[in-house]
Amino acid sequence: MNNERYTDELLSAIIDGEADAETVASVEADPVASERLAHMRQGVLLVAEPVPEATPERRSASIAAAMAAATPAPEVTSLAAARHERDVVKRSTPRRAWIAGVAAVAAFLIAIPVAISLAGDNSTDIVAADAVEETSVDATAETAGADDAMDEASDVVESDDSAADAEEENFASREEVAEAMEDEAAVEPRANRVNTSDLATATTVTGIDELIDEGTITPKYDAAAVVEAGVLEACVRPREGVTAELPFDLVNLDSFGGATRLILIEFADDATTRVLDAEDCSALR
Amino acid sequence: MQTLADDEDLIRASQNGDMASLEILLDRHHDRLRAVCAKVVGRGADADDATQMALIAIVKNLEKFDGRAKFTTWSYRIATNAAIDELRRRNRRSADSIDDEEGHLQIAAIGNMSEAVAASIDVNDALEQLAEEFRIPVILRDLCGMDYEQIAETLEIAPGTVRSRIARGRGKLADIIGDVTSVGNQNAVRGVQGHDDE
Repeated sequence: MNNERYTDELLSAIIDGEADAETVASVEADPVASERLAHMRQGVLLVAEPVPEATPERRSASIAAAMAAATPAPEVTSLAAARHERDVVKRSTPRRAWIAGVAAVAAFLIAIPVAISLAGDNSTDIVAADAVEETSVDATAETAGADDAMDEASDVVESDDSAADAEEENFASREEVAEAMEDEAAVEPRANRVNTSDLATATTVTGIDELIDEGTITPKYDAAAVVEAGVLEACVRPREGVTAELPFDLVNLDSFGGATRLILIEFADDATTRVLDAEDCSALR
Repeated sequence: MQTLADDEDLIRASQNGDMASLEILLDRHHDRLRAVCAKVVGRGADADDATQMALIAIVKNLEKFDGRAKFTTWSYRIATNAAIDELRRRNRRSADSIDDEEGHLQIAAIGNMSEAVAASIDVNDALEQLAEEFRIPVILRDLCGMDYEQIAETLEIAPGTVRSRIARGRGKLADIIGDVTSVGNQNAVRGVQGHDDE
């Protein structure tokens, strides 16, 4: 409602103390204009009314999330790079297997004449066969040992790739999921892996189903097992023009350059999530 | 007596990686920024989400803050943008939801409120009736106490436009209050008449 003489702009200027005394007096003398001015003043008071404070928990969570965003994001090792690194390790480990193989052949060559000289009869074939079998078993065992050593040597790299490996498995129960998570947790932290476990991004889980439905998040585990275990490992693919669907998206995608990330989200009883871990999972997609 | 560090010191220290200073800075401004978010988005949970996003955006952009604008102005701008984003996200989410319909019904019902209810008019409902382009300048002016220049800078519009939008926003709020008051008065008159008739 705008009076031709006393416009809302003029009344607004009075509220802001920008009108001269004569104008103010003139408005106050006009019953309609002065009522309008009174209503405008009430509106100003209404807007200036203090809002209810956030709960201390929510307040702390917001600040914690912001502090988490301030934590410098360590360099992220891509899974592709991790795989390459593992391949390098694997390429070097056949040397050990080769050594074990040579040892096995040498043992075999020694064992046969010994067996023949000891037996010297029809049982030779059997004994020799046994010897062959035995040395083969030994060689296999040694090769297996070498493989173990290889596995051990490449554990760090393997664990980087564990997400990919785990994805190929079908975790059907809470125990299996929990076990898989424990295995990952047991691995020594790696300097080149993003570990956001101290970031504690508490956030409401609203919308996560939609994100899963539309393919923004791909749950890594069976949904029932996820609910049981209270964890979800998921690939988050940022979409064009979308910077944040949820606060954890914002934290992760913005902090880590908008690439596709593997994130581990912990579902707490109070319907909040916590981003536990993040790494590049572009190679998985 | 312990002297509290001022914003400038805290910002400088934060820019140099001092996390403790950053936390103090965020803690100090949280409530102020949340108030803006709450007025813009209206609902508590959404206000908290918007506030969190605003704080995150502040942290991420603090390095670029050069002190030319006041930190309060700068952070209000961020909070306003975060709140607008939250509002749009919410509108997208709940475009067809029953909850939203109920919200509109509540707003529409303001015009039929009794005087007693009018006395406790919900600012969120009233503000929701203002278009975003009027609501935000009004909030920045009447809640945050920013001057027209600062609001113009924050919203990246001309000061004259700010002035006009604030006037229109206040005018719209005056209409709402006027309607509520007049309905309340009519009800009061009817109540008196009904009493007289008995």
